[in-house]
Amino acid sequence: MVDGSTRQSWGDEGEDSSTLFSVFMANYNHGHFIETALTALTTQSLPPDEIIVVDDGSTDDSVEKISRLSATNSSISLIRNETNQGAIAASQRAFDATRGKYVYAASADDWVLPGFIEKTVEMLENNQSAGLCFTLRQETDTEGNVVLRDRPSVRFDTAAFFSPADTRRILLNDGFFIAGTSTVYRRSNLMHYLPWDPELGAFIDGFVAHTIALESGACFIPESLMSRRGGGTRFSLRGSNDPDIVFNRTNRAAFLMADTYGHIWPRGFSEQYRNMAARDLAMTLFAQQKIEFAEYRSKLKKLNNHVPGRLNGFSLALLSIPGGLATRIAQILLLLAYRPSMRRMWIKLTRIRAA
Amino acid sequence: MTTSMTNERISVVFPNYNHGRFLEGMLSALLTQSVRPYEIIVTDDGSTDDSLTILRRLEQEHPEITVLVHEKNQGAVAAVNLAMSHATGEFIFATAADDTIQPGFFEESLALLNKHPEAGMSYAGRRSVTEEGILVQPNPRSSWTPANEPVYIDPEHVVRILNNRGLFILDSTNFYRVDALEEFVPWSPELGPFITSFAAHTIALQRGVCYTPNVLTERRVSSTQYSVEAMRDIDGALVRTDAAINMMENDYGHLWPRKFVMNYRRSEARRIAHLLITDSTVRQAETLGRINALIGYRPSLLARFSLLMLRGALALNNKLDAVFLKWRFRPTFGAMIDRIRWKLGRG
Repeated sequence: MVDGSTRQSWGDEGEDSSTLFSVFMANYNHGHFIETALTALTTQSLPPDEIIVVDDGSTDDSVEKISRLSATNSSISLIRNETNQGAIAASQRAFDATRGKYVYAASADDWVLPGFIEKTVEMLENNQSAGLCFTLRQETDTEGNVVLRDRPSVRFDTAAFFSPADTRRILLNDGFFIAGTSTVYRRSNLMHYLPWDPELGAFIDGFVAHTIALESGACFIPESLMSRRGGGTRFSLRGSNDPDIVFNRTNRAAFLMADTYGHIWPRGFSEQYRNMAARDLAMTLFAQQKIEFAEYRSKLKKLNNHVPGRLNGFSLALLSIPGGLATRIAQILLLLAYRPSMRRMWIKLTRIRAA
Repeated sequence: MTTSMTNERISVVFPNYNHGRFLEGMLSALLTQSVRPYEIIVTDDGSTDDSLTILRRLEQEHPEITVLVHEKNQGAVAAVNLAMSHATGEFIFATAADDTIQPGFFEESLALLNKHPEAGMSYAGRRSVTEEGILVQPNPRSSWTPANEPVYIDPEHVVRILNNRGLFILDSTNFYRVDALEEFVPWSPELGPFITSFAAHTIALQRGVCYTPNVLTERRVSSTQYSVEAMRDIDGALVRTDAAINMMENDYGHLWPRKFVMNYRRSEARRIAHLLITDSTVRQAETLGRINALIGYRPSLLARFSLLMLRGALALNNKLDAVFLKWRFRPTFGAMIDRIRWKLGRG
């Protein structure tokens, strides 16, 4: 990531006035999803001028599938990494090949819904100062049923432009609210924050999106225009619960918020953010602990029922009380330890009262 | 004895699944025995490591070795069954790719069986080493041995040991007479890994068993190995216990002592309970360690206190569970009395 003060040197480099909308995508072994993702893009009412896919050394049939689609659709181009270099490097390589005024970082396992490009471009054309436009998202299960829609933390029911001051207020009241995966960037704004900072890990797009919104403002469309693939278990990624990974990322982002981009981010937000990360991680770990405990108790119960005896099921149930109770109390105490700012708690309370 | 030596063909059978790094050691231990095996039949069970390359090379070098292949992994029971169906020897040594044997194992086992033609099989002392080859200190409870010198244990004595000590023939040391083993081959998959122990004890109950206390086999244990299946799949473990009890009570009801079978369900439950509690403790420790690391990044007195409380409560819970289940699955009263009498030497 480039230091804010040197941004001039990047300018609008690489933009080509004849290219309006570019999509860049990194793919690693998402062969069974990538056709959906690419077709959803090419069948948009306003199709993108170019779709740059970097295949990051996939070992499945991704390359064949992408090549087949790119043969029938000239807007799709494939760049191949011979070896796997990681999502951030691949994504950067794909971005470097784009020329559009607006750019969208698509992920190979998600897909956009009809109208995504037309609506976001219209908003960005009408609000020249906005650095990006984001929409709500939905999550579908393996059968394609919508299981979850983004809860709009932003209380607007019509498309709106949030000025930097609005963005600041929303951020302090509601926390993060822009989803990187449904965000279309104005190239000239995104350029300031490239190349991607690999230390931010999974938070990279969220961090950049909020920084741009705080700096230049953001457009918001309160419709689900992008779909994510849900269905996987929440704890399938044990690595994402690793405090070392989460906190390396958190420390880097907090440093950027307080220091490098301290003039953009609200004062004191980085501390709130550290608490937020701790709270989220603590809750995930507790939920995991709870599931493991329940699983263990149910196994003991099965074993217990296997050998005949009287009243023993009851005794076993009694025995689970201390562990279950302690888990609950410890969870509440940790929530208190990493509580949000008084301001956010107060806002939450008044909203609950109003509802 | 000397005249029949040439007719005593030993078949070694074992399955291999991704144990490529142990294969050379295992095969050289087999081929350097004072009494060489007649044939060594290995089923490669769809390994994804370099096992098959190593096996093919060794097969070229040594005519005794035959390599059979399962293209896809089908489990140890199916793999060993395929190997056993190709065995032609009068004696069968069924082992595992990551185990190994000491010099003299075949010679001593053969001598014992020749001395006691009525015995159906023999087994030997065993030690355990870790993946890295470090000796594991034996658990004093399981290191009980029936004798201090090579012996033949007759069926009556086998019954007494089963009643008072429980199962005693050590897995992966079993050297069978093929005519004794025949009725158990192919291994039935419904008993899972218990099939070897079940067959060995049933043969011992039918015809008696020879035993040498010399430590002639080595078993490799990994920290993750301890009957993972019992923890991941408790339903499967309970079904297997039921299947084993069914075999002991019905098919081989005339052999297996009733007292033992009565206590077998409880002793299995005790064993599984112990594994479950150990597994749960390990997983809890992992999660608690993560919470601890989190607090390290974001210090808070309240958070520390909450973790301390949770740690204490879970430890207490595990202890309570262990005590309760041990009491719940205790041996029957009669069995406890018998065991005390046995220990005092009046059994």
